[in-house]
Amino acid sequence: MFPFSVHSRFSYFSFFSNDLVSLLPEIFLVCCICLFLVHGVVFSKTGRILSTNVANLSILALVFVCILLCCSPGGNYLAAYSCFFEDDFIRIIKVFLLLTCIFCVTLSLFYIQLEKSNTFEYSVLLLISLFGIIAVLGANDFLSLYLGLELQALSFYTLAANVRVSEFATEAGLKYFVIGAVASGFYLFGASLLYGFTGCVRFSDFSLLLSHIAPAEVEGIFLAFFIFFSSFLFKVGAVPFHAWVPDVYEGTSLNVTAIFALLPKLALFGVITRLLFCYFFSLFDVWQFPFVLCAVFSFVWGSLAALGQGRIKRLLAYGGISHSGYLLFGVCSGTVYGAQGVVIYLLSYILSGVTIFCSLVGLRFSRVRYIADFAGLSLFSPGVAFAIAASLLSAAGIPPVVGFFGKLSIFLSALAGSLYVGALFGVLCSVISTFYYLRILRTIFFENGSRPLGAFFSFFGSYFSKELSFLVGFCAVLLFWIPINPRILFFISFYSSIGLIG
Amino acid sequence: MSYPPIAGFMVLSAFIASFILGLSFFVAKLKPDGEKVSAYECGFDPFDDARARFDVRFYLVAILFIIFDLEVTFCFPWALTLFYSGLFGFYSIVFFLGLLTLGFVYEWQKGALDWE
Repeated sequence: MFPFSVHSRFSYFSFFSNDLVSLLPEIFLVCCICLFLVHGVVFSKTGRILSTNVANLSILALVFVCILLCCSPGGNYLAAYSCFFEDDFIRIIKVFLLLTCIFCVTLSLFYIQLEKSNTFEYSVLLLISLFGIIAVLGANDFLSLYLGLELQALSFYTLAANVRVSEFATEAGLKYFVIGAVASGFYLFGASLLYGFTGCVRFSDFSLLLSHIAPAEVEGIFLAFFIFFSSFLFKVGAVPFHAWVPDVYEGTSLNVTAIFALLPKLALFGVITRLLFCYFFSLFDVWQFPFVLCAVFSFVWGSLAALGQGRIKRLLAYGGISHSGYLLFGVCSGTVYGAQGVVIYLLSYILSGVTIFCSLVGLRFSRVRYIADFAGLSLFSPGVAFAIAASLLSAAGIPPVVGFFGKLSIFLSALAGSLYVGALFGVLCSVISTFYYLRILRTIFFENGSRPLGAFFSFFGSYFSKELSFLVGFCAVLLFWIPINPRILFFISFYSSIGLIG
Repeated sequence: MSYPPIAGFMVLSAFIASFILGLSFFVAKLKPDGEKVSAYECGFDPFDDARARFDVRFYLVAILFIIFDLEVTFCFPWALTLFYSGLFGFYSIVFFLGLLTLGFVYEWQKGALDWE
């Protein structure tokens, strides 16, 4: 018996028990956020440092949210007066998001202890941004997507400037804030134009409208659509809008870079795929060519610009730009194989990203900032060298590692969608990017370090906590194990892409 | 709804504003003097640098004010339509105010409300 019965004459909408059941993971996450915030602030009055406490609590909360999500009733449903939508694709991307967030909190836990960064608000902000990302992913409405986007963006601006004593972090936060604000402005402008030209606020109405009216008859919809979509390209770091990515990734601290590199791409490519395939597919012949151009320029630019990079975080940032390009390329093919390729590529990207960022956290004491600092790592820490090798081979797309399946699926789907020239460029840029990944591996395995053995201040090697070493080992082995038995990969991606289309 | 007069007004106002500013920029004779460009302090010689340090507490108070002022602003349309939204509307605003109260607890415990 639910207390939300309405007694007045007009009942515009009510909160049904279905909404509670369907939104239960998100509601639980919000309750956890509120609880951790109050817990952190009240109990740190006595001078206690609660950063690791709240981080452990947030891992627990994320595990519970994941369990709740897996226990959700299946099928497609609209929740909360059609503001939120969920189907198999969204559920799988949410599970990926939650697992990635658990990995990121694990690596930040250790990083917080190393750097003695004693603010518990970091974990709370991370949870708030995750809630915003989940709201973006499941939104069915312009406004609910905007609310989630802004919640995520504001938490990210604060997270970017997390290290308050570093000018780089402050600069990165400021740059990200200004550029993200412009992106949100583009979103609102495009959304208001789309609403003005069509009268539809919900995405599902767009697919209905555009399937009954030829899109060319709705004046101005093409321009509005591109302005609206350019905001997503901003947030993801695709090429005309990629300028913020290297500076922001390099300026922030390592745990925040991991979060920036992994979480938004997941959710935003989920949203982009869902919008383009389910709701705006009638505009396919309008959006295919410009987005193919964006994708091709993204991976060309990412591959070429990373060639001259000497710093590892900047190189990973440019690699992230090229990965966004490949993902967008898979979406542009317009086939169900494209959606499948996007899911496979996202999974491989997350595994390689988590591995490389965890390894970099473990090498924190060794002050690895430039590629040349990696020299001799295979002698001092062969395990970390193996993990970095697995991650970079996956990012390059070399066969015995999962990244190969990601790139293979993307290029095969592009060929199925007749994007021959783009696929050719993709393969060529893949080869070019292999060069700089292999250069790092050459430095790790085949160069003698110039660090003196036994000197007091030259600790070189890795320093991991138990959980972090387990995580690195798990992900590195998974990168090699999945290709031996890729059924789980293909099943998950097929299930989610069918859920997207059906 | 005729839009051309709006465009006409925009062009006219832009032209008038730029004309007035541009006139003083291009036509006026500039003869800067030591006395003319120094800071004005009621006729006295300037005691100190005009750029004083800014206490960030003022900025913090302004931000807190704007947050709670917007909270009250959101209560206004709720108050007008409460009859039509009924019990659900009531619990919605309770949830909203509760979330903002959590923020209030946070800033209180953090010492943002302590002046000095």
